[in-house]
Amino acid sequence: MERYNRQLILPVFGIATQQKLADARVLVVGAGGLGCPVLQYLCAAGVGQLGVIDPDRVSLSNLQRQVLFDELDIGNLKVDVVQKKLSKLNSETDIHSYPENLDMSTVFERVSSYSIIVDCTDNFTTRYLLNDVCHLLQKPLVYAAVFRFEGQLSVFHYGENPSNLRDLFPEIPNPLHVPSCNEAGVIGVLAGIMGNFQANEVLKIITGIGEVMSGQLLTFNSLDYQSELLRFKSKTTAFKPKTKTDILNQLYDYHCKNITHINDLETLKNIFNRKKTMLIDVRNTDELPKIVGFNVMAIPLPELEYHLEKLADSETLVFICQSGIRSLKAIALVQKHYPDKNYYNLKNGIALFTK
Amino acid sequence: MTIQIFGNLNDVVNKPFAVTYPVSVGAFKAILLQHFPELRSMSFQIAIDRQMNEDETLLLTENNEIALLPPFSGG
Repeated sequence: MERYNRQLILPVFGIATQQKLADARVLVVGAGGLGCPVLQYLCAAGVGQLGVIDPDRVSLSNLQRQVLFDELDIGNLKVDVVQKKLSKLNSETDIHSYPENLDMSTVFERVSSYSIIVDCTDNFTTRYLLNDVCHLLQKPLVYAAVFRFEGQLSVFHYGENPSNLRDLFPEIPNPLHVPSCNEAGVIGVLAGIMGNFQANEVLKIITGIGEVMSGQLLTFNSLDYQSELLRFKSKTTAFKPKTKTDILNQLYDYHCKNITHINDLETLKNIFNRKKTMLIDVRNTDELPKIVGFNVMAIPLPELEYHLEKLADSETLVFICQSGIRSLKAIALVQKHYPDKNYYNLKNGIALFTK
Repeated sequence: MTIQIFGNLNDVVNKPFAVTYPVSVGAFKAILLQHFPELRSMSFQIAIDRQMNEDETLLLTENNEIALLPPFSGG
């Protein structure tokens, strides 16, 4: 126990608390700027079972903030490097590495195998999927996210009054308007600070020492050290899955492959205020009602792949069909050819015009 | 009234705008969107005195602290 002496001599700590850490099973999703410090500190503190999920390989531009990795690791799978380095840091911790994307096919099994989940991901698709699965399986989710010099932290699905990411932000945001670190930039130290906050929350949950950041959002600005604690309440109107099927029926991926779903005319009109915007009706020519009042091009879905050049000059493409499903397929098809355009889907199809 | 703006909302809400108090949260939002139309397509929540707020009828006075908060995705 010499290894843990400095925490064992804390007045509130002790052998029993250290044993809680040894018995803990923590899953870290994402081995990036947030995930690296989370993994390092939890391993050092003596968490017994650590899982890490990440499909990526180490690249040179990671090293500025992902301080577990070094130049010799470039090109290797992050989870392999994590396993190698953490087993040297603390051989008493079992590291379970999953070189994969967390998606519908894996998320339920992974989350159910652990008692605490740490969201260190970098995209809304995974964040919302993870949140909903943790809600369903009642697993505490330690959440942090960064943008430029600012960070956010909270703990969801914990304790007697569990909160939820969707209590804060009910809908998956449009990633077009929320740049990722790859686009917006991030300072390495900030990811380190927020990751350390996450590790701290995990330790509080395991040991029962301190007050877990549940029902509150911590905001932190690394430029002026301004931080706020914002309280929030349960949002009854937000999506809270009751069954696995509820989750399987949600659109996580489409949402975040740069598609925005529209279901009101006002939003549609606003989109049409932009230049080079086109509405494409992918219904068959005999389907009714016809759309009036918008500049619309009718290309039935089966013919769409032969008419892609008609879309070349538009910057923003809005797709519509009868119920909102074929239009999604149309977007998937067109995106392969034109990945950089803005895509909108009329979620409920033609019903928008018949209301 | 102080208005604290977080994240990428700073890129959009970047100039002073006039509000006459008291004003409901709903009306305040409308004023914001009118001055900064780009906000319409952005995801954000309003916190009042450090409490996330859902009630659009709530009346704001000069003493309230308002925060405009977007979700972050970076990690």
